[in-house]
Amino acid sequence: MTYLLRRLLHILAVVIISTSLGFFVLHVVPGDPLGMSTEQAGRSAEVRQQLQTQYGLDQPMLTQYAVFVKRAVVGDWGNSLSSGRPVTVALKEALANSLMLSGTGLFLAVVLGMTIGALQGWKPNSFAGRTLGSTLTALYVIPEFILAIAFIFLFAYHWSLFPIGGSADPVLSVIGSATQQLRDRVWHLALPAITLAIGWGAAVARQQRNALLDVRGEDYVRTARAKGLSERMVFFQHVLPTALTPVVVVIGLMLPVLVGGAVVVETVFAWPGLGSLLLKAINARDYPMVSGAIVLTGVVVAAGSLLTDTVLVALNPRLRVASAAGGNS
Amino acid sequence: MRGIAMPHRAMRYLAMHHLATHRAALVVLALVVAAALLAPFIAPYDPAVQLDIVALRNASPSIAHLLGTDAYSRDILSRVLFGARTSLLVAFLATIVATLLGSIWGGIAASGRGSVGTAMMLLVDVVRSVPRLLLFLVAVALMGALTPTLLAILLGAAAWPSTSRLVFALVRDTQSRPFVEAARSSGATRARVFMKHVAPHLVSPLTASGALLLADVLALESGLSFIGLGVRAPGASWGTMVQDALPYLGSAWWTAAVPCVCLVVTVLSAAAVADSLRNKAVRAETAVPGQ
Repeated sequence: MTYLLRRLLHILAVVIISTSLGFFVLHVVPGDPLGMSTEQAGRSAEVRQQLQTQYGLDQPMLTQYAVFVKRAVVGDWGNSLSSGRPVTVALKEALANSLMLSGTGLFLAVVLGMTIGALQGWKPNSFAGRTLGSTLTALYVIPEFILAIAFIFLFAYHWSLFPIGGSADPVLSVIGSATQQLRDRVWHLALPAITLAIGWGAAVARQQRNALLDVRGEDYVRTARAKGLSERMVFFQHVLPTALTPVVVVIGLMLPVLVGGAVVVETVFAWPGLGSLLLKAINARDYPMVSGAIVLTGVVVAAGSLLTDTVLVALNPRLRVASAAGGNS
Repeated sequence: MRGIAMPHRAMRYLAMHHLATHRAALVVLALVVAAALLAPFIAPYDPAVQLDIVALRNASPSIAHLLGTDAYSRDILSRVLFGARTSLLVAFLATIVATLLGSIWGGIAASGRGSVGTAMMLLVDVVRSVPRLLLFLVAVALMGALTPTLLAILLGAAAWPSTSRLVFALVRDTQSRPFVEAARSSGATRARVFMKHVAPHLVSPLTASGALLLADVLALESGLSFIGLGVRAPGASWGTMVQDALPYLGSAWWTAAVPCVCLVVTVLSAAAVADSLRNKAVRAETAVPGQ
C-alpha cells in the first residue's frame, strides 16, 4: 500500500520536526527550572549545583537533545524538575483523565454531530434544518470557555445539579463503594464533557451537512433516483458513503484534542488532565515533564492521522487507484 | 472555488434567509468597532483605576456604574470598552498577518513549478499538524508577558497555513481558466498575468475567509487570555476580564456576564458577516460563464 506508506513517512517527519521544535523552543527561552517557584527560591548554591548535575542541565544543549531523543525512544522521562515525581507516572494519570473527558466529549460530538448534520443535509430547506443550521453555526463560533462558564453558572451555582469542578469526590473516591464511585465520576464528567461535545459536535455537523449538500447534486445521485430507488435507498446507499469522507477527515483532525486540546475546558472545570498538567509544567520550566507531554501529544496526533488515512483508503477506492498509478494523492 | 465553496443550491437557501441577519450583524460589528475606537472619549472612568476597593467591590449595576464594578472596584463599562480595543486590535492584526503570510506563501507555491509547490505545501502540512493550542502553550507561556502586538503576530503565524491552502487552491483553479491562458498566449509576463488576471479573483474569497478568521482569532485570543496566557493585567481584554470574574460567579455574576456577552455578540456578528461575504463571493464566481 504505497499511499499509506507515503503517509506514514510524512507523519513520521511531522512528529520528529514538531517534537524537536518543542525541545529547542523550550530550552532557548529564558527561565530557570530550578528557581521558578517560591519553594525553590531559598535553595543553596550547593543544592542547585547538585540538582543541575543530576538532571544534566549543565550539559551543552546538543547533549541534552541527544538525551531527549534517547528518552523519547525508551519512553522514560526521569523525574519531574518541580515535584521530583516520575514523569511517566504523572503523565499516565493525566492522560487517563484527559482521555476520559475528551473521549466522552468526542464520542458524543460524533454521534450528535453526524445525526444532526445528516438530518440537516437531507432536508436543508425545512424549518428544522434551518433552525439547526443557525444554532450550530452559533455554537461553533462561541468560545468554549463561555459555554463552560454558562453551564457552571446555571447547572452548578444556580440549580446545584452538578459539581463546579474536579474529576471526583475526594472522600468518596477513597471510602465509597464501586457503584458510588462510578456514579460520582459520571456526575463530575457530565458538564465538561457536554461542553466539549457541543463545540466539536457543531463542527462535525457542519461538515456532514456541507458534504451531503455537495454530494446530493451529483449526477450519479440523479441516476440512482431515475432508476426508481426510494429516497431512503438513495440516501443510505449513494449519498451517505461518499459524504462520509470529509467527515472522517474532520474527525481525524480532531483526534489530537484527545490529548491537551481541552486545556481551556480542563482549566475552567479544574479537571486534572494533560492540558492543565502541561500548562503548569511549562510555567515551571519543568523540562522533562514538558518534553514527555510534547512527545506524547506528537505520537497521538500521528496515530490519529494514520488512522484517518487508513479509514479514508477503506472508504474511497479512488485513493488506492491513484497511488497504484503513481499519481499525487 | 471548490476549496471554500458550498454547493450553489445551498448558497441560495442561505442567501435568501439570512439577508436580514447579515445586515444586523454588520451594524453590530460596526458599533463594536466604533465603541473600541471611541473608548477614551466615551468611557466614564479610567479602566485600570481601583476606585474604592472597600465600598465599590463587585458593586451591582447602578447609575454611577452602569454595568457595575469588578472585584478590584474598577468600572466594568470602561473596562469592557477598553477591552474591545485590545481584543479587536489583536484580532484584526492577527487576521492581517495570517492573510498576508498565507497569500504570499500560497501564491508562490501555486505559481512555482511542480516540485517547489509540492515542497512548499508539505511545509504547510507540517505546520498545520502541530496542535495549535500546544504551539501557543509553549510559545506564549515561555515568552512571558506578551504585548498585544506580539500576541497578534503569534496568532497570525499560527493561522496562516489554512489561508495559504485556500490561496493555493484558488490560484491553481484560476490559472487553469481559459482567460488566463488567453492572456498568457498574448504574451503577458507571469507577473502581469498574476496581478491583472489571477489576483482580482482572490479578493472576495480572502475577504470572506478573513472575516471568519477574525471571529476565530477573537475566540482564540479570549481563550488564551482567559487561561492566563494572553493579555495580562492591568491591560484588559475580554478574556482577561472573564478570568478575573470567574471566582465571583456565585456572588457577582455580572462581572463575568458582561465580557462574555460582548464576546459572544462580536464573534457571532463576525461569523455572520463572513457568511454573507462568502455567499457574495460564490455568487460572483458562479456568474462567470464557462466555469
